Amino acid sequence: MKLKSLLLTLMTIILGSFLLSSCGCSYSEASMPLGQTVAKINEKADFTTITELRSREIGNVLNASASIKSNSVDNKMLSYRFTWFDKDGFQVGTPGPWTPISLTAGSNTQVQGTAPNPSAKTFKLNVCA
Amino acid sequence: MKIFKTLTAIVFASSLLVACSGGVQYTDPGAVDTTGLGFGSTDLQTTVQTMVSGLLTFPPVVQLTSKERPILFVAGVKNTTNQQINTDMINNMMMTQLIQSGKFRFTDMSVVKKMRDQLNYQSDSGNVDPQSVIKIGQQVGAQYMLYGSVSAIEKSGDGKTSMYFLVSMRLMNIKTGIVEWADQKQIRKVQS
Repeated sequence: MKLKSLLLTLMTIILGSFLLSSCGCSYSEASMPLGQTVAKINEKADFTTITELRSREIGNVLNASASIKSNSVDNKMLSYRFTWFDKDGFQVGTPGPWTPISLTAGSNTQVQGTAPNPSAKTFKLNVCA
Repeated sequence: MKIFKTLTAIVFASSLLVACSGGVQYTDPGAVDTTGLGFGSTDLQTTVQTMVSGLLTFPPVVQLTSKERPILFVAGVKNTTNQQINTDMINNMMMTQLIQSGKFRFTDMSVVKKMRDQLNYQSDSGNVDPQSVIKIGQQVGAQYMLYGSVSAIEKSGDGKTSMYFLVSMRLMNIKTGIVEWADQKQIRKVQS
């Protein structure tokens, strides 16, 4: 019986390690509806919540911001990226790079991005924490 | 005994999975690269993103690009660190993204000799229809120069190594010598 429980523990450890190694972070995604400049949202993931999206045009280039709130009691490293779309929903350029930032426990932060060219009219934000 | 067989099967299957996942794999080029303290792909991409975003949203530059597409040339990014950083990648990525913004045009100093060779071929070889020969001396000069530097501070202690990069870029009006725009990106990494 002892041997059985030892083996089960071993198997749990092996499977757990495999699952942990394949799941790097908890993802969340939020999209700005076309034509809107402010969107209050509540997109929750394990450690973060995307609470607001904003956009404005500078020149004729779309500039976006997103508010991200920490749900964690620990300081976390997270990464985010913006993807841009034209008025017909086609992706403009390639998605931006995943940008790492540090988020203090329980705090809010604002991240910003600028569209690659004037054809971008809306965006989505992905967060990995 | 049965449990031994099950365990053996699981271990075997896991080893097969590990074996199959080995070798070369394609991955997202925009993924965060944490493989070392050096200036990596994430540093390159986020630096260029910061610079291009800064340039496209800086009010005097917005005003400038609302009327025309200024002509720039990239003078280069100077590496003052003791690391090997391919700064041509910063130049190329900046140039590509700024052209794709539709706000700027560039002259490319890296191909001047090849361009001159082609112009000489057209005018001197006798192989090109004289009516289609492009005459020398019609190129448009750059109005602005884009340049910058990468510097670093490396510190070690308490079993940790800290690396700090400062990338600075500037846009100078060649006619007046005035620096019209400047921005910087700070990156700090710690490895224990």
